[in-house]
Amino acid sequence: MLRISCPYCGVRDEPEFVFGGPTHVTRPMGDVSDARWGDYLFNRDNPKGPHHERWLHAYGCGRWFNAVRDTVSHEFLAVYAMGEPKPDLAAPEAGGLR
Amino acid sequence: MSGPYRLPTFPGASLDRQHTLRFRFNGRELTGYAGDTLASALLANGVRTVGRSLKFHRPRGVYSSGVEEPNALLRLSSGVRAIPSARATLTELHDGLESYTQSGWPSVTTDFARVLDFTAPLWAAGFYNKTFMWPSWHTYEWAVRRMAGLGHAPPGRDPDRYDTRNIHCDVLIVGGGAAGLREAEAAAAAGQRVVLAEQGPSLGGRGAWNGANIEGQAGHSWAARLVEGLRGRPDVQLLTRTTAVGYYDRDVVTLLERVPVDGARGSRSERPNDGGPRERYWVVRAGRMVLAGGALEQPLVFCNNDRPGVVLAGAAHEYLRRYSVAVGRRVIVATNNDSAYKVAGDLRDAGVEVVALADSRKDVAEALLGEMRSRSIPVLLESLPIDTSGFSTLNGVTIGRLSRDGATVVGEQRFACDALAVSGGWAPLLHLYSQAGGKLRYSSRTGALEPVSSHPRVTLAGSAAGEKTSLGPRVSPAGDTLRKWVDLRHDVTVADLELAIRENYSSIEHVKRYTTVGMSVDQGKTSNVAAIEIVAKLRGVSPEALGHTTLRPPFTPVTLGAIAGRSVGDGFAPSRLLPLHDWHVSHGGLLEDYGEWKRPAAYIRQGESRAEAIRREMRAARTAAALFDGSPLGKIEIQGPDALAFIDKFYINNLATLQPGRARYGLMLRESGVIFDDGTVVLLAPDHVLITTTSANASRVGAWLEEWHQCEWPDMRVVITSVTDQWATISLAGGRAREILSRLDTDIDLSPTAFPHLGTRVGHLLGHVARIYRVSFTGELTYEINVPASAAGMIWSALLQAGEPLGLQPMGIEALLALRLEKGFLHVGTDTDGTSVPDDVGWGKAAASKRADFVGKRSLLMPENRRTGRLQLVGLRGVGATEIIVGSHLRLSGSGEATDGWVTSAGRLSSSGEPIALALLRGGRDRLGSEVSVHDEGRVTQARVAEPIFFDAAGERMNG
Amino acid sequence: MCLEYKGTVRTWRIQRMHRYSFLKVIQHALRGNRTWQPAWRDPVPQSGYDVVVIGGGGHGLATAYYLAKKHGIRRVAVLEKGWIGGGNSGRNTQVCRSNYFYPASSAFYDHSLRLYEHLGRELNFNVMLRQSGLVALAHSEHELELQRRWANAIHMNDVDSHMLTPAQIRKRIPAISLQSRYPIVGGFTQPRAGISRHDAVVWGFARGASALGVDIIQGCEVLGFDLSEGRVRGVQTSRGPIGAERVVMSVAGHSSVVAGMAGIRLPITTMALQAMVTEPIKPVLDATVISAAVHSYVSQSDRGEIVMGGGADVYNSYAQRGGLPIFRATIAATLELFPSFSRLRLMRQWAGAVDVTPDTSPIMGLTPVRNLYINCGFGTGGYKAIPAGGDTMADTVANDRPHPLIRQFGLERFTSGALIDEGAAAGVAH
Repeated sequence: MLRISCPYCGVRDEPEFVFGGPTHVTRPMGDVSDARWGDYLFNRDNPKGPHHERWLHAYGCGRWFNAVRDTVSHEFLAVYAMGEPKPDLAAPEAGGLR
Repeated sequence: MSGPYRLPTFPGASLDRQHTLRFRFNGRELTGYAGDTLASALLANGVRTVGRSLKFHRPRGVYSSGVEEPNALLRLSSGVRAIPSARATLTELHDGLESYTQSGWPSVTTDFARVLDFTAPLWAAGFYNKTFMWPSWHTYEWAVRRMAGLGHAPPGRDPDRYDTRNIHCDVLIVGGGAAGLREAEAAAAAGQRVVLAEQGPSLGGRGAWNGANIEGQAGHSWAARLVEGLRGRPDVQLLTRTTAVGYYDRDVVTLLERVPVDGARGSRSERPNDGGPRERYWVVRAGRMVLAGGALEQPLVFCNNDRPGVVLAGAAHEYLRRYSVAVGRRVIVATNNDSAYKVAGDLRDAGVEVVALADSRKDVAEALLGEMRSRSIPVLLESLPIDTSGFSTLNGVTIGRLSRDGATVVGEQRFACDALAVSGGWAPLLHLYSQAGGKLRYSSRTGALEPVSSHPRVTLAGSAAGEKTSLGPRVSPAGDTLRKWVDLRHDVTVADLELAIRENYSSIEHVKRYTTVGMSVDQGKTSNVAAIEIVAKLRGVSPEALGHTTLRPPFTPVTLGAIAGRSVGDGFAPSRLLPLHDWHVSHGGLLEDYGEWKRPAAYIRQGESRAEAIRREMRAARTAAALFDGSPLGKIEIQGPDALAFIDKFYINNLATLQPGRARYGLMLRESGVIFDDGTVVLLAPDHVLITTTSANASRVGAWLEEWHQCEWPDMRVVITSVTDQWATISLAGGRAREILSRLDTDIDLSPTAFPHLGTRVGHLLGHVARIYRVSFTGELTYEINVPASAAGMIWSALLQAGEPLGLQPMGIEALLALRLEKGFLHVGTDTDGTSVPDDVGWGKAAASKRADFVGKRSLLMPENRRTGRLQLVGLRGVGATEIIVGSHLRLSGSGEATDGWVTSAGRLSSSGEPIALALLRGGRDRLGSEVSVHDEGRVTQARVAEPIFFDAAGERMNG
Repeated sequence: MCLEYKGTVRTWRIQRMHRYSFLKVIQHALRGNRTWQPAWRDPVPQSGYDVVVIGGGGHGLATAYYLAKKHGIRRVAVLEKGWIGGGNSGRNTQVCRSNYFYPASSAFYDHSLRLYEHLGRELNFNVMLRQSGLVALAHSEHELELQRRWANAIHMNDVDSHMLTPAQIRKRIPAISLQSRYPIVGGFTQPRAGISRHDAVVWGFARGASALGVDIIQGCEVLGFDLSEGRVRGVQTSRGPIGAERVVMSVAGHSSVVAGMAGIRLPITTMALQAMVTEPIKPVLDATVISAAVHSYVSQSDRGEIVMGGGADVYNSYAQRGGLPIFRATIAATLELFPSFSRLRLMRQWAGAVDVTPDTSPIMGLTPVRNLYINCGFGTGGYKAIPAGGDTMADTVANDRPHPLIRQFGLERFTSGALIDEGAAAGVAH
């Protein structure tokens, strides 16, 4: 059971959260090719290691937030608000929300 | 004395000898004492054979005193309370305990299948992969299957219950021995919240009974003092009979607590204490963890090392000092390390004859040798057991003298004895360390796995951290490897390991899987490290380099009921009940599961079948009026300046022109273009939208809108609120609906001109706020009345009372669905699936004509969604009177395809009884009027393709 | 099956694959089982091969076997990072079935089941297929309607299947409880479905392939591809570069990582799928039982263990270990169906890393890189596809075009939108 640090509520158990898949996925606007649209709809980064993803604190504050989580150790490397850019994991403060 | 092998009591022993307990073993009544385990009581009574081995049906006796026990697996109790394969070594004796052996025919002591032992080479590792192929595995499988397995599942539902506890702590200490208690004291002194889990019934560990002194005190007194101090601290929780069984990401540890049965305190009842749970499953979120679970003694490997009477030396010690039981009258002790000397000495001191002590090492501390000399115990150095004798139980041991290099035996000596206590060194318990991600490696120095590096949150203490010891050989070089057991439970011998290597199953994982070593119920607790050592030698590599098999959870087997906890029966999933639930129940409502809701399928009258009730309710709706509880209908409010613009992004229908007081039907897509949901969009005010969703998707749609808002369009000024539960929905449908509703006191003008179809009004009904929408799912004039849930009962009753003289009846969901089928209204999730796009169900033009972007729009342009020959929703009319069955498949005449579609909804017209259906049919809209064959489990009927509307095509009734 | 092969470190001389039979078991037993030969060779890698298969799981080994057996391509290497069968091939719940909704799936998986039915004798290695049948449960009338649609689809595809009443289910599976929180209102069965021994399938293909000349190279991790002019020329490995005319990726669980080395982005999410077994007990369950509504599938292995699985953990994971919430939910779901199992004990739990595609159907065939082929995306159901996956991929590689049975499973469908959405059609994990 993951222990997830909601940026608004603090550390809570995994069952309070809903996983929302990869974040920083840009929705193509305007006239785009089938290939571009298919890439947006279906293709995923799926890294082995740090993964940028979004979570919903469903049984809590009800807010979505971003996280970087290692897909091997399952350790949360950072959490940050929706709309914020990808954090620099090398920076000392990035780990502060662990 | 209770039993012929019982001795006087040692200090620190567990036994309460004032308190005799009666128990049964295979029907025989025996006695023991409070504080005994089933294993100690059986040994005290001279019971030697407690099971037969898996493949060769060799007799087996109690081998250990703990979790690693491979042999003494007994069934306890009978009927639905039966417990298969209980470890006798962990089972606390209680009055009235029934125990049964689980193998052997006709009995455990005489097993005809022992004949298999004399053909053992045939049943070597992997034999089943090499034969039983002709004519097929089926021919043999039933027999092999019946040979496997041990014990039976109980015959019915478990009458006991299990609890879950969720806790947090700063430090979780696993093991209540001296090391664990010290850690607990230190952490508590530092102000930390401590949980300590001890597997046994008492704290203090081996030190409490093995006669050792700790800090100048007798071990049991020392432990008692520490425990007393800890019990007084509010932040310390000491759990006994509690095993740490699994580590889960991230830093969550599960514990299994066994609640003792009343019988342990003298009653014959087998109900758990105080009517409480049988076991508790603790889920501990631990800041850090200290593993102080000690170490497990490893066996020596030699010929016929499996006979009843061969026991681990530490177990022999524990039976002696803790339970006052001698494992035999004439004992030989064999070891490759120091620990067994104390065992031999204590046995001798208790009056047991110790025939000899064999030590495989050359150099042994003089102090130890002196201890033996002073007790006249002969010591044989550089010596190992190489064989044993005795058909049913042990009657002799051959000790061999090893050559200088340990590779051969240079002399041997035979001793008569009835017990052989062996020690092959101690393997620290590192299961949880490994599960927590700690890396392990075999160490030749300790003959066991040890940590490669430290772990940030898991530390080791006591013998779990490993002990300095000199270790001699533990595998006898002499004799037939086919008779040297490595895994007692699975009958895996050194010969099997040899065969695996010979056949190139050489990875340690391949060895495990090919020979099944370490895969039995003890999960290799007494076989894994010996297997590594032997395999490395066979392969000519260092055991360090060989790696090891994964130490998977759970550490010890865990009752399934305990893992599930209260999530069984009605607790498995919550039931959602309607505001009018009680009324439905008391008025014949046949409640069925619709998703998480319990809803009336129909209201059954005396002597009526379900189908008859549905037909009666349909008639009422078509001829007079019907009242339907639609409260699960999803209701979501979107408020704010951008409410309409926001919601417009989710429907294929153009909503920008929606006026206050009006409702519009809407179809919602996933981004993939697939139909997600449908419902009504109501503009309550320019900045206040209410949408309805299907009952099944109510929470999903709400969450989905919220996700789009927060993650994609956070700048839109809206607030999204689900009001499904706040508003009850009562649907009044039928030609007399207006007449009935007007009999209730309301400030809403119900006249058709003031309140037309697709109109919405907010006002009062019987003094309660009411939102009334004219939307119809039945094709009849309908008022969808939304009132606060608390007022639902009152309004419902008033409507029925007013309407009954006019023919109004309550209607269940099945009649509603049948009525909508007559109208051909789409039921999302029934008439669509995860591939349906708007054009498939006749909404293609609407989607294409909307200029503004909406979720899923671009996907509708993908080649697949624009091709011809897609499945399209059509109506079917049965040819003949045979009903069309939902789920039947369709085939067009001359079609080369396996299937051309399927029936999604079906029934009969309420007026004529004509079979009708909705179906998804390949290119369906181009085939109106043609016949298709309808296939259901091999039966074939015919149907004619029709427009998907069977009743009031002009829509006069609902518009009226 | 004649072959002379000399490696450089240890000499492997396999002149004939020793056949297995009961007679041979007796003969070898009389010689103390000291005369058995290695099941497969451990050669050192050569500098180049006609075909390199990345991944020594069931699919990879089967691909190599069929390349050698049916297409005469014997200069084949299977490169395995760890030990063969150590990935999902050795972590699944051993279910073989072909009850799929769409004709494309049905045809492919039934081909697989038919190969399984003869696999033991084909490989001369008993894979212990026991066709005790599969029973899918319905817990509501609506679910029963969907199941009838499903069962009829299978029927239309000429695969055996029929509906069951609750009474028939009870008769078929006496230990089941029809009155659970969600009462069982019916179901359907595929009688030919069954379970087999996963390790035996891996070893059988390895032995067969090795005897035909395929080099099985364990402990050899692929670190990159040699690409030029849009085609693959070989692979870089932890044991040095290996040239290859053609390369097949067959690395379930790591497909995105390996394909990424060739610059290919995949529509795959890697997730942990758990499985667990109880202590072995005497026979009590002689079918594989699946319930989509409570999320559980249950069978009993021929060792006597009750084998259980459920839904995948919800987040991306390469960890090969399961999370607590899904683990507990799977156990609870099993007890809903079988309340009498409550007093049995869980003996072992584990997880595999599975490739999940948007439509829960596999990705098989060609890639944008010439001469590089892919076989992945089987999600939770790759085991049952091993023989057909190997057979069709071998044919695809040998002829550089998709085998007819896998034409619809290509990567292109994620541009055209022509998904084969089994999950959507049947509403069931597989």
